[in-house]
Amino acid sequence: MKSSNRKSLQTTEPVPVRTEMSRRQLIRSLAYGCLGLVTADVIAGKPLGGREPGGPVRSGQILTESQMKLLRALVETIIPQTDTPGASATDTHGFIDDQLANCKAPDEANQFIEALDEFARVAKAQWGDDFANLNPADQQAAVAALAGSGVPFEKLPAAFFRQLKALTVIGYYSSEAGASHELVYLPIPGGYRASFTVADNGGKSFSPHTF
Amino acid sequence: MIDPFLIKKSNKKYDAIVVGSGISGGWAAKELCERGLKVLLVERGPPVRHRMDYTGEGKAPWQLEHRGNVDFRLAEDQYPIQRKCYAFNEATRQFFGNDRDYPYSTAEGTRFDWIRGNSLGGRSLLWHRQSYRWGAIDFEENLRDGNGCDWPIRYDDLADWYSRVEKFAGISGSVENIPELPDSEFLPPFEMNALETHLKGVIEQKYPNLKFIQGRCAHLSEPTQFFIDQGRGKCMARDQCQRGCSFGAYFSTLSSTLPAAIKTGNLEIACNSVVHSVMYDEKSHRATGVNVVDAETLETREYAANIVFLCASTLGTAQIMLNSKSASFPTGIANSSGVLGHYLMDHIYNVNASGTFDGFEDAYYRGTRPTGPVIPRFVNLDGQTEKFARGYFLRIGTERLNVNRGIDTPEFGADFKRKLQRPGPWNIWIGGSGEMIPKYENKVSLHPEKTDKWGIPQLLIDCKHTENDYLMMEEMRLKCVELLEAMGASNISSSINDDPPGLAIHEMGTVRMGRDPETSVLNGQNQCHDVPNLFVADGACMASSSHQNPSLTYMAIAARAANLAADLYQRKEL
Repeated sequence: MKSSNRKSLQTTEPVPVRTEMSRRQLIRSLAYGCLGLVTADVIAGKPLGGREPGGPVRSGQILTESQMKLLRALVETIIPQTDTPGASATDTHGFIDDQLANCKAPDEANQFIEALDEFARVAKAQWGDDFANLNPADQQAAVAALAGSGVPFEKLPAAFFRQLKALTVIGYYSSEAGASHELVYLPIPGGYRASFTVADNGGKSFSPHTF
Repeated sequence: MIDPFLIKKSNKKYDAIVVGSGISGGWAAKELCERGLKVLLVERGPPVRHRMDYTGEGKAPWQLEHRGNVDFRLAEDQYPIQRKCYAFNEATRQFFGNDRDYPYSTAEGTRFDWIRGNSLGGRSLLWHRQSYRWGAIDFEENLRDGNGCDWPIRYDDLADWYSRVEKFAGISGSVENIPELPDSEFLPPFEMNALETHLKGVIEQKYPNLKFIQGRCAHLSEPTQFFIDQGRGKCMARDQCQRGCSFGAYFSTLSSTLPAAIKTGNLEIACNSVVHSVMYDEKSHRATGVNVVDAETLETREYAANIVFLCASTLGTAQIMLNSKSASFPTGIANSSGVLGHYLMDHIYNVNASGTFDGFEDAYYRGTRPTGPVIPRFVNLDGQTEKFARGYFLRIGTERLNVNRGIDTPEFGADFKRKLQRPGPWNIWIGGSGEMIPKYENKVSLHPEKTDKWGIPQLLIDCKHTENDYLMMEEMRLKCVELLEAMGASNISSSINDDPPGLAIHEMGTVRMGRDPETSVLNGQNQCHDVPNLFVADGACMASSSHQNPSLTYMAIAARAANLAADLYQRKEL
C-alpha cells in the first residue's frame, strides 16, 4: 500500500506484540514515531508461562474446586492442546468463573452452574468416574453427547452446551496464547491494507479485538 | 496540555461561553477563539487529557479485568441505558454518562435510548466518525413535501463551511460527483478489499442507478504535513477508537479543535460544571451567562458572558433551555414560538441483513478499517415515488468470519480448533440508515416532579416511530435482501429490530432553525429569534434529519454560526 512506504511514516509497519512491557510506552513511542519525532522501540518477546493440564486447581470466585476441575477438563476437551496451548493452559476455566461471578446476570450464572453440576452427576453415573478423570476418548464421547443433547444428557438445558462453548471460545481466543499464538494478534496494524492474503498471514486468522 | 487553562470560579465577563465540548462545542470554541474572542468552554464531565487519560487504550483483551465486559452489577445499576451502545465496554466506560447520575424519563408507552458522553471532548471521543456532507435535497425536502418547516439555509450556505472544517478535521473518501452526496475535501479513501471491489462491479452493472462507494470518515488515511504539525498521525486501523487514540488519527475535540483553541491564548475551560440554565436579563433582552452546579461538590456558581453558545448535545441543549425560565419566557428561554422541545428525530437503524459469500478464499485484509462501503440514497430523489416519504442509504460491511463462528456449532476438539485457526468464509452485512420525518408530537419536556442530583428537572422524552418509518423499514429490508441476492450471497437473513429511537445516536431537533419566528426557535444564523446573543449550534438546531450521518454537518454549522456571531459581535450588533 502506498502509505506504508511514506518516508516520514516508516515506523508504522505492523508490530506483533507479545509483551508485558508498558503498552502505554509503546503506543506513545509509536504515536510520536509517526510524527517523525522518535523511532519506535523494537519490542522484545517474552515466553508464555504455559501450564500442563491436570494438577491441582483452586476454587474460583464462584465455582468450587471440584466445579473448577470439571470445567478445566471440559474446556480442554473443546479446545485441546495441539502445537499451541489448549484452553486449560490458558485458564479458560478461570475466565468462565470470572464471567459467572462478575459479568453474567445472577440467574443466568446460577442456571449454568446447576447445569454443570447435573452434567457432572450424569457423566459420573454413565462413565463411572469424574469427568476430569476419564480418558480422552470417554471425555470426547461425553461432550459429543452433550453437544447433540443426546443420551445421557437429554435432560440438560439445551442452552448449556452453547453457553459453555461461547464462554470457552471467547475465553480461549481472548487469552494471550489463544490470541497471539494460535491466531495472529496485531495490536497496531500500521494502517489498513486490502492487498493482503490468508497466505500472507501464514494461513491464520487475526484474533478479534472484541467478541 | 489543558491543565493551565482549567478554571473553577471566575468573576470575569467572557466574550463568549460555549456549553459543551463535543464536536460542535469544540468547533464553536476554536472559531470564536481564533476570531479573538475570550471564550469559556463549559463541560459537565471531568477533564480528559489527550493521550494521558486514554486509560483503556492499547490494552490487549487479556489485560482487561473482565476481557472487555463490564461488571454486571455496575452496568445494571449505573449504565442500564449506556450498556446498549455498541461501543460501551470495560475500556470505554469512563467516557459515557452515568445513567444513575443523569436520569431521564420517557412518556408512558414510549421508549428512547439516550446515549451520552460525559467528559471533556464529549461524544467526539465516542462517535463512529462517518462523515458525509448533506446534499441540496436535504435542505429543500421540508419545503418540497410539507413536513417540518423550511430550512432557513440551503446547501450553498454551508458548502464553504464544509470545506473549511474538512480541511482541518481530515476526512477520507473518494471523489464521486454524486449530487445527493456532495464530495468533501478528501484525504485518500481507504481501500476496498477484494470482495468489495468485486461487489462494486456487480452492483453498479446490475443497477445503473446505484453507486457502491467507499465510506467517508474523519480519519487520517494519509496525513499531510498540515496534520502532522498538529501532532496528529496516520490511522493504524486498530479498531479501538472509542478508547481514545494517542495517534490523534481520528477527529475529536481533544485531538483537533481544542489544541487549536488553546493555541490562541483566548480559551479557558471549566470542567465538572453542570449547566443548570441560561441567565437572562429582562431589560436588555439578552442572555448574560450560565448558572452552573458543580458536578462534584454540588456548589452553585455563575459564569458571565456577552454571548452564549449552546452545544450541549441535542437533548442536553433542549433541557437547559427548557429549564431557563423567566418572566418573559415562562416555558423556557427563547420559546415564544412554543416549539422548543418539539420535532425530535433520530435515524432509522432498525434494519439489518446479512449473508455469506463463497469464493475469494485466499483474499484477506490487514487491520480493521474505520469505515465501509455505502450505497448512497436512490429513492424519492425527484419527488415521492415510494409508499413512504424521504430516503435512506445503505451501509455495507464485509469481513472474513472470525472465531465466533464456532460458537453455535456442535463441533469441538483438535479439528475444530484447526478449523477456527483459518479465517472463516466471507460475510456481507447491509444495514439501513433512514430519515425520520420531523413531527411535532415527537418531543421533550421537563418532568413535572422528577429531578436529578443537581436539582435539575429530568427530561421527559416522548418519541415514537411513525407509520412512515415502519413503511421505510420494510422497504429497506426487502432492498437489502434483493441486493444480497444480486451480490451472490447465500444463507441470507434479514430482520427489523424493535430498538426505540435514540440508539442510532443521531438524535436531532428540538430547537429547530426556521424562517418564521412563530414556528421556529433559531434563525438562519443559529441565533435565537427571541434572544439575539444566544446561539444553538449542535444537533438541536436541525430542522430535518436527512438520512445521512450528521456530525460533519454539525461541524460546518457550528463553525459558520461562530463566525457569524463573531461578525455581529465585532460590529457591536449583539
